[in-house]
Amino acid sequence: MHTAGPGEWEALPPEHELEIRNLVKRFGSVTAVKDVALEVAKGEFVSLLGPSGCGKTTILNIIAGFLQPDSGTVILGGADILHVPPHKRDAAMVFQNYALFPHMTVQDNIAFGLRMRNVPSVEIPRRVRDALELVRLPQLGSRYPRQLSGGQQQRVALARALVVRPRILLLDEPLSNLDARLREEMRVELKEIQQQMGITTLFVTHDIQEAFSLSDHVAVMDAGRIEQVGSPSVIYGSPTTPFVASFLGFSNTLEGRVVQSNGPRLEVRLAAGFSIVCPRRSQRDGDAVSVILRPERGILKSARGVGENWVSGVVARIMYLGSTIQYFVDAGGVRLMLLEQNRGEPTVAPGDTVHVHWAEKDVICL
Amino acid sequence: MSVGTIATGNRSKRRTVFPWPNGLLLLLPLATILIIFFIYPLLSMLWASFHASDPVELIDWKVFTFRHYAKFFGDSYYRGILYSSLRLSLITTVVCLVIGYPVAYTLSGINRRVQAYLLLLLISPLLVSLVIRTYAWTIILSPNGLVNAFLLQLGLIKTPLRLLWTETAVVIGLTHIYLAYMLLPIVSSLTSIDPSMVRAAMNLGANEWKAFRLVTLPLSVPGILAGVTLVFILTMSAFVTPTLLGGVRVKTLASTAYEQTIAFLQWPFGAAISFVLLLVTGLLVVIYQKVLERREWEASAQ
Repeated sequence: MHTAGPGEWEALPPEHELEIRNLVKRFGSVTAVKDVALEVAKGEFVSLLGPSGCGKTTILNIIAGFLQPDSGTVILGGADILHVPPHKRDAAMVFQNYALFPHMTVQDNIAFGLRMRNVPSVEIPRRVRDALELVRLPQLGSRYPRQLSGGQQQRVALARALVVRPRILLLDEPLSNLDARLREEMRVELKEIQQQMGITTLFVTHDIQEAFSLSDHVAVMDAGRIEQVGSPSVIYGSPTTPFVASFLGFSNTLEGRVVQSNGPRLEVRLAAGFSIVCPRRSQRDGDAVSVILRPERGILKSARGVGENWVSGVVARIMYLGSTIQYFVDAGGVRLMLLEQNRGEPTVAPGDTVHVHWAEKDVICL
Repeated sequence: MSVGTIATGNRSKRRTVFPWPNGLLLLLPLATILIIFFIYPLLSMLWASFHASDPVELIDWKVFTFRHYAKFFGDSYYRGILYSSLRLSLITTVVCLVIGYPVAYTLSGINRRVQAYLLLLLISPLLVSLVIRTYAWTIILSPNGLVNAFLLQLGLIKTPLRLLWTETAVVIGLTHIYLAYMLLPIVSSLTSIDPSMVRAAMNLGANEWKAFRLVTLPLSVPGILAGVTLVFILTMSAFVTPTLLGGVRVKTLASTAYEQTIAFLQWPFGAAISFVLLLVTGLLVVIYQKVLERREWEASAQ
């Protein structure tokens, strides 16, 4: 998947199941979706990742037909679907609150879509049973949704969407109502089912771990715009905008000015009073840049080592998180955050002077 | 159930804020008034209905008898009044439901602010005394009233239609007066349906009509039941409207009980008729409860 410019339109490979172009949606004076383009290949799992209100659910609702965009195109399976009514679109949605019909049994909930599609009634019980087995709830067909736990309801909602064999599965934060442990279990299960069925999936979430662990590609969104699209490792490895970096939790964003651009390297003098060397993108001497020091890649030492990118400071606060330990270090008027693996070694205490080192590749200059 | 509660008339148990003795203390003023001015007279009426009437004393407390009830159920005239009362209430309830549901459905689909104002408008007739509203209908429906004048003017009729003092007049009046009691529960029931229910139905391939018939309508049944029960009970026990619009032709339990008590001074028989009325409406409330309880899907796990 890639964000294509307008000129690339004709060159698109035919296996793209979903293609969104120039999508714009306004609510009154607020533009919820700003010129979004997105492609999802057949069988691919793509996430729209972003904070609440970034427009990700709006996009999902437009694909499902619950909202009509102000402009743009949505092409599903090669056909423009914007003028197709919601009940004729081949996109099945799993809602955040599951939206199971409370007055129908689990079986009837799952059979609903089959009946609406006029699937022969002899075939329905078998397909319902298969769907229940797929989500590992073969015994619960005759229960009502209220008699199920949150995790079970979630599975039924998934079965109800999958049983109609849609062209695309739309998931609207389906894991957000589950408690932390169940969420991790369901995450694994969801991925297994998705791969087993090979179903094209568009997933909306604000949870980075969820998006990264499930997706082939992630589109990070902010304020109605897609900021960056790429595989999880590409997005994590090289965020291209300050928003993506901060959304990923790279909180050490410092302002500075390039003092020397030298081939692939860049030396930046930071407002905080120290210099950092980082890989060069396209910056030149004198450019104002944002320097991002990855919290999990900084190495904390009690003695200053040799080489560049050493920052000295005083430990202000230590947060013990279990598998990791979070350090806040005051250096030159800024507070840096560091995440260190908990290796059971004696740690520094607040008030200690420490020296933190970042390898050149672990610094991002934008 | 803790997560994913589906908003459809959530009947969760609420704890009282006050512990038992304090709560009881707070109930005391109202309880006292109710016991003195409602429960006691009611029970003494029930007791009176089992005694003979007396031309002077009105109630002969020395003679215990079931004769009033035997008279009511034995005499086809009085049974007929029971049936016509039930018929009148049934027709009014059906008319209210047929008129009310589409209005409630429309109201539930609009912006909450506008909805609140429109609801206020719809229930504003309740601010005018029922007697005045009923008198207004007698003016509209009378032989030289608004409707007849209009029809005569258009030349559609030669002589005035008899509208007043008919069952139709009573149904019109009762519908006008009790429509709000049908509307409010249905609006509240429809508004409490999670909008994602309809979306889910459409997403699974249901067109608007099927989504309504298979999802919205069944989920609004609690509101329909509440509205139907309310309107039926209120019209069953309505007195002013059937009397003024129905005249002597349309007899109801309420007007017959009144007639027996005030006109014929048959207090015990009047009391017996009142209790037949109370029994019928009480039975309806019980049926309503049972129907709600039978809805298995309302129950949660454990």
